[in-house]
Amino acid sequence: MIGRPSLDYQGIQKAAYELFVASTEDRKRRLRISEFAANREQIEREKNDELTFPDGYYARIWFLIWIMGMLEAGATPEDLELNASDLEGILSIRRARNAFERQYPDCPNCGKPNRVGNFKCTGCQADLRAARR
Amino acid sequence: MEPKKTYLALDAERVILFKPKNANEKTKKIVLPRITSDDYRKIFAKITIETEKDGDDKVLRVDPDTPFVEFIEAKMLRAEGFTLRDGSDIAAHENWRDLVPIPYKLKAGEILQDVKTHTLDADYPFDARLVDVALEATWNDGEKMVRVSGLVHRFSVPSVKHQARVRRAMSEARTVGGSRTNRTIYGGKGAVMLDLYDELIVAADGYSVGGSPLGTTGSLTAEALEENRKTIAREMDGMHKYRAVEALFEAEEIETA
Repeated sequence: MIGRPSLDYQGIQKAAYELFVASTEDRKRRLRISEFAANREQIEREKNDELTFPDGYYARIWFLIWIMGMLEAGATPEDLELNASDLEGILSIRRARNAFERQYPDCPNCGKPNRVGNFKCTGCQADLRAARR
Repeated sequence: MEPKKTYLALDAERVILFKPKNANEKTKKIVLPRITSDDYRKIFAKITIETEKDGDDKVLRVDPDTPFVEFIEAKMLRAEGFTLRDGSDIAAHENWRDLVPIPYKLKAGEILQDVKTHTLDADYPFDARLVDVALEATWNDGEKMVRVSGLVHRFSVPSVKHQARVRRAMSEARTVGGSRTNRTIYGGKGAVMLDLYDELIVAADGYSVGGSPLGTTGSLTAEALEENRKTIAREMDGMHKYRAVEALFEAEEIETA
């Protein structure tokens, strides 16, 4: 079966979510400590599973993120020769971003995304329970 | 006295010379016709890049050599200095193209691809409206292979549209076996790079056609500039086009944190 990441909008959304999660400090910290952790194997498995889609999905996402940046900077869709699949792809990334922001709200103190349920901010160590109250 | 400027003759036959292994051997030679941009388009179209996750490792597969070897086999005009075990010259055989050993065809393919960016001379005329890329390449000079530098390509500054075309070409991919098999095949950006060269080139230096320098870097009228662009686009070697545009967009992509 041959697929085209540029036309698989659900795949783009899921892969973008993975990419956002993989970029969080929390994730990076957990992977760093995996060297000493008792459940190292499980964490290592998670690490390998982090980005589960073929490379082509992430290449497409980076292209779309670049497009989004250019549009924000003032370029027009005509300048960028956007087609329908580009716009659908951008919508998929926005949906992934919204889902990510629900699961990883920003710390009210320093702005770093933290997983829902974290007690302390992985960036500034602020007490997130106090902030939620 | 100023040193004599050398020009890379674009319209000459491409001759690849191989050093003899011992004093009794003659220099081996593969002679190709001039390679056009269309030839390069066909070669680039056959070059694919594949990535696949294999456990913890990411495997990257790129094979530019096979399309070049196929091209050389199909287009070779002559092969000189190659003999069979019985001492006969391969040129005497009808299937002489097949009798040239593969390592020589592979090496010839490598030479055709051997074009790299080079530092631009500090005293090269500067024009703020243009972006300069300097290249060096391996080419034949009479009976020896030489490294030629000072090959300059002057481009107009790329627009966001040009940038988007390069990025799109680099991101276009197919996946094989569904979205979870981790195998991606990229189509390559060769054709887009050649198109962008033809659109953005303003002047070139260090090349010749018909014994005269290709294009000119002096101040020109708009019509003359357009004529210059068309001439360079028509005459320039496809591999030099590809590398020059690659360097142009690498320079463009430098970003600060």
